[in-house]
Amino acid sequence: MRVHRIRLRNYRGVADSEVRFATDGVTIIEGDNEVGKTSIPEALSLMLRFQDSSRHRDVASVQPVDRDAGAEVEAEFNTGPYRLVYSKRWHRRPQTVLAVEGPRHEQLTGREAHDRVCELLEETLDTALWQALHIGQGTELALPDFDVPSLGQALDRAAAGETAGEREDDLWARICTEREKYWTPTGQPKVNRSEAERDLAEARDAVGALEQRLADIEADAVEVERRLADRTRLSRVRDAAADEEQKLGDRRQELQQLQEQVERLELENRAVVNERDRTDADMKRRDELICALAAAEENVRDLRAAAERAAPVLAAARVRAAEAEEAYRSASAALEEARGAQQRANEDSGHHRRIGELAEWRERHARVVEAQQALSEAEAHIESAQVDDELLERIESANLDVVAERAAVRSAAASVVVTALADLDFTVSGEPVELPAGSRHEFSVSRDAQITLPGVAQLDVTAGGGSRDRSAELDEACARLEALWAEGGVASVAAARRAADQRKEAERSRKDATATISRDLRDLTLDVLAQKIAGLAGRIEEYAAERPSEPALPADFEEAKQFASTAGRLVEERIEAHGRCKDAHEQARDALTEAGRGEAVLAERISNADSTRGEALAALETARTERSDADLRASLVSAQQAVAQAAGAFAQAQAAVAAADPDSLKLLLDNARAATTRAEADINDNEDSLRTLSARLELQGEAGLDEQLGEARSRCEHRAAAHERTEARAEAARLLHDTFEARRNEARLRYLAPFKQRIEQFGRIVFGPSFGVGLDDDLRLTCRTLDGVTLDVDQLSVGAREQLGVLARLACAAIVSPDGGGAPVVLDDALGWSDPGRLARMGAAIAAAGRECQVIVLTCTPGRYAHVGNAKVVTLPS
Amino acid sequence: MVKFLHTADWQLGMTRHFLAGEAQARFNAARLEAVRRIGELAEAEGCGFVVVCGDVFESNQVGRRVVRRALEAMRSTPQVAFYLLPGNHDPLDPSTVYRSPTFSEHRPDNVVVLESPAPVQAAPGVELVAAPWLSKRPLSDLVADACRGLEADGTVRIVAGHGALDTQSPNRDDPALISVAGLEERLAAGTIHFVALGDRHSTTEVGRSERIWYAGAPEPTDYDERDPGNVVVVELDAAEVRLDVRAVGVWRFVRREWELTGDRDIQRLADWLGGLENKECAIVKLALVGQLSLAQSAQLDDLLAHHADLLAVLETWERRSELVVLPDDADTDDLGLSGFAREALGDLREMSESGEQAVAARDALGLLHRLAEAGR
Repeated sequence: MRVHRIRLRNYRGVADSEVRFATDGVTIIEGDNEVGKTSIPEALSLMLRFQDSSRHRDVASVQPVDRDAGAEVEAEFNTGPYRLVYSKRWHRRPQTVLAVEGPRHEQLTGREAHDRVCELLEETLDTALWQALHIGQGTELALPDFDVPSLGQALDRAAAGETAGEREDDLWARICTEREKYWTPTGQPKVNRSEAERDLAEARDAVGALEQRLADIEADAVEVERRLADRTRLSRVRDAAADEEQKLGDRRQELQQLQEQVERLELENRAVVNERDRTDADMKRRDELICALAAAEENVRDLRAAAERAAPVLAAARVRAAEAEEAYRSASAALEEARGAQQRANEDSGHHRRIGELAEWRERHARVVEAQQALSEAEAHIESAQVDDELLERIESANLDVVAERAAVRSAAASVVVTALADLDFTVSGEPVELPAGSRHEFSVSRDAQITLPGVAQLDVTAGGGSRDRSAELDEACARLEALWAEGGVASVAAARRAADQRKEAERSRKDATATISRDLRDLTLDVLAQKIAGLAGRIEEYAAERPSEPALPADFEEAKQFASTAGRLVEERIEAHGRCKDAHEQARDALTEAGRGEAVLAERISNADSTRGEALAALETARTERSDADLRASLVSAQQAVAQAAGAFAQAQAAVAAADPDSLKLLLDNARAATTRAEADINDNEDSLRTLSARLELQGEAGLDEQLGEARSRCEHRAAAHERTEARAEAARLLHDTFEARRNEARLRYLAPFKQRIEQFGRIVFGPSFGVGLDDDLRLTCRTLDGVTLDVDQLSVGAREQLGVLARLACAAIVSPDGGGAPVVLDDALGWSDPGRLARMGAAIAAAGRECQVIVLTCTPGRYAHVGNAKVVTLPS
Repeated sequence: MVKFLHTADWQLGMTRHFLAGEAQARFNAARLEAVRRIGELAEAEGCGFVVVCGDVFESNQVGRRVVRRALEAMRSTPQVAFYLLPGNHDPLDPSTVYRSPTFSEHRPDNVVVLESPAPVQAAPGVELVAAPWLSKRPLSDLVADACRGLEADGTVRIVAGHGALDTQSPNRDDPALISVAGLEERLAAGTIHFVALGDRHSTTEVGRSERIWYAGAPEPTDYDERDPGNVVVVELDAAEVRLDVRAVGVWRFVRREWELTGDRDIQRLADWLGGLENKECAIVKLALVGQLSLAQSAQLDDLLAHHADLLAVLETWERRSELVVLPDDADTDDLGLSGFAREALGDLREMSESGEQAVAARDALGLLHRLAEAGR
């Protein structure tokens, strides 16, 4: 389709406006907002869609509001081989006029005109394309769907292949559906198919199981027949075993009789042996009695001989014992005497020691008495002597003060020197002084002095005030000294010193006396000491009085000790002698006792032996009275003979039993019994098995297994056949699908190529030589490649997507438009998102496309499309 | 003259794998019905008794229902005695159905099992000499054994036997084969007068004596039976024998081979199938050979589907079928495909001519044809 001209009258706000388009190339319609740019393509669309009488909302909306008139559109365009001038008025006085100018002239009005246009468009215009190529104002940024018939056909033509139309697509859809019945999208068998396979396997298993059960039944039947045959055989075996058992049983009975005989003979044998043994024992007992009597007599004899031998030994022992006793007694007396002597000597020694002690005690007593005297004297002295060391020190100190004061007075006092020119007598303060001529008398006046030269003169010397004070202090010091003296009871310093010395002496004497007392008294008092002395003296006197005169009292302590020592040694000697005598005495006494006991024992034994002999003799006598020795011997001989006879008979019977071989016979009989038992058991087993098998066969027999097997086989075969058919269908569907798919993809590729090529051709103008695009089966742009980077269209910016959309439309139009086909590309204020550089290159691309198709650009921005080189520009008046 | 009815091989309880669902049920019912008809026929013909020569039951392991129904069918004509001979399918072995509790309990008085060779008096002066199978693999000619020691004493003897004949069996070493010569000798000697046999399901006369017969199965059981569906009404005495073969079967087994090379062949097949009578009791197996186009093949499929619903069974004999379906140019044009679809069709045609995927490719072409046709 090519639009040549559109005229709008009373259309919305447009009163009257006509635009002529470049039929091949780009027409740019510029105009301000709301001057009716968009109305131009809209009006064309409306007049093609709606009749003049239409009350459609879209139609109603274009009625002019400012005047009472119907909206009117007139368009002149080519479509296919036809050229039309078509006008339509709505709302007021509706009218439709069509003039077809070629190839055959037609002039129509009203409904006919509308229908004819629809018919022509139906024949020549791809409405899907018409819509796809129209980019509305700011709305359809999305990339268009180019699965439009005219593009498809154009591409098919370009691919130089046959046209695969709707019919093929429809067939393809059905092939896909068919395949989906059997296969999953990933090419796996569908669940129902594997289930069918499983069902088949189950059916096969069921057949196998039933076949097995039937085979078991058959085997059971065979087994029953075999066991029935066995029944006869087994009873024959059982009968033979029973016969054998019977025969052996008879033999066994005979043997038993023989054995009983052996037992009887054995009993008899045992009886005669017993008799013989009894007689033999009697015989032995008789011999024993005889022997016992002989032995008793022998014993009595032996014991009596021994008693005779023992008598002298006893007498000798008695003598030795008497002697030893005597010796022991005299040794005891000697020991006693020596001990008396030793005691005396010890007492004497004590007596002398006490004498010594008494002397010592007395000395100590005397020293204590003397020391007590000295002590009391010393204490009396100390009591009277007042000057002790402390007082002495104070006296000394006071004395030094006096001396010092005196020296001070002296130096302060007025010194008066009287030199006698002639002998002179005078007094000084009443003291007469005789002063030979030429001599001098000097004195000092500390206070005042009155020198009286009798008769001559009286001189009063008065000391100065200082001197007087000094004198007073001296007086005080002297007074203090004297007071101290008085305290000590002395008159001078020297006396004080002596008194102090004497006191020290007295203190020393007291100390010595105290030491002496303490040393000699120790812990005693003087009275105790005196008592001890008195006691000791008393004992000494007592001992002297009591002691016998003989032997004489030793002279002193030393001698006494010597005597005691001598007496001690004698005692030790005698103790030893006494011990020896004592041992000898005890030994002798023991020997005597022993000898006495031996004699008594022997006497007892003799008595016993005598009685034993008597008893033996009595027993023998009794036995002999009962049965004489000769009788007894004869009985023994006959018993022995009977024993020999019985043993012979017993041995014979035993040999007979042995010959019958009882062991083997028993084994054979046991074996025969076991064989019978086993045969019985076999028969029972056989019968049991038969019963079991029969019961089983009966049970299974009525289950209808054969029919079940038939049915199972039937099911199995049906399933197998169905499965096979399904598989074949599945395989056919797959093959059909795959073959079609391969060819379809191939065709698609061939078919896509020109479109892709065109888009890229225009795109390179805009984006440069590395530009490339990808298309899907429905001819939709899927991705863009630039400088080796491929992005999905969704990832692109709005501007880039819009540019791609424009390019794709231009490419589509360029492909379908030759020879007057296709439809114009309408860009209504598009590319608002593009930057100036991109916009300039887009302009070049639009211009390039404009050489092959009609492009109508509507814009309110004059200059946006300045780069479209060969455009026809129409400016709408505002 | 004694008159009796000779039948055999009822095979009650038989299942046929090619019978699906209701067909199997009807097949079973028909065979029981045949038993009833036999009793009625015997009664109508004045036969004193019916001799069933073996394989009364398909197996000793038939279900109680089969046994009860069989006995019930025989009970419906109480004055007709049924003598049942155990055959190779239902031998008198320890698992035998004839001694099962169900059989023993429900056996009517007119049913007698021929359990031993001892002659049974079937009518005054008429003895039945039976050769029952006692196991699945007998080790001797049971019929000969049964006849041994019989003498011509004026008694009319009918021998009831079961098994293959030595003159017909391919397995010559089988010790159980029945000696035809021996039987003919005995017939000639007058110790026996008729040999009623079972095992072959086709009604067959043996030898020239006119007195040795296989009665055949009263209802057919398989395709390879030549003349099934009959019973034999026998009237005889020592001097004379009259035989009347009577059809009692309702079902049919049909096996046909067809060569299909064009529309005309398909039409002929359609006519033939259309002409079959009593379709619901017909079991048909077709061996199809030849070559068809896609269109023809689709036509054939429709035809077969139609008759599969009408017939009891319509199966194709896979082993013998060699039907190649190849699209011809007409098919291709008919489909009217273009573009990639036409190319894919070409690929499939090429694949279908040879190679591993030839069969799948043919199936795929068939499928394509179907899908394309459905889209029209």
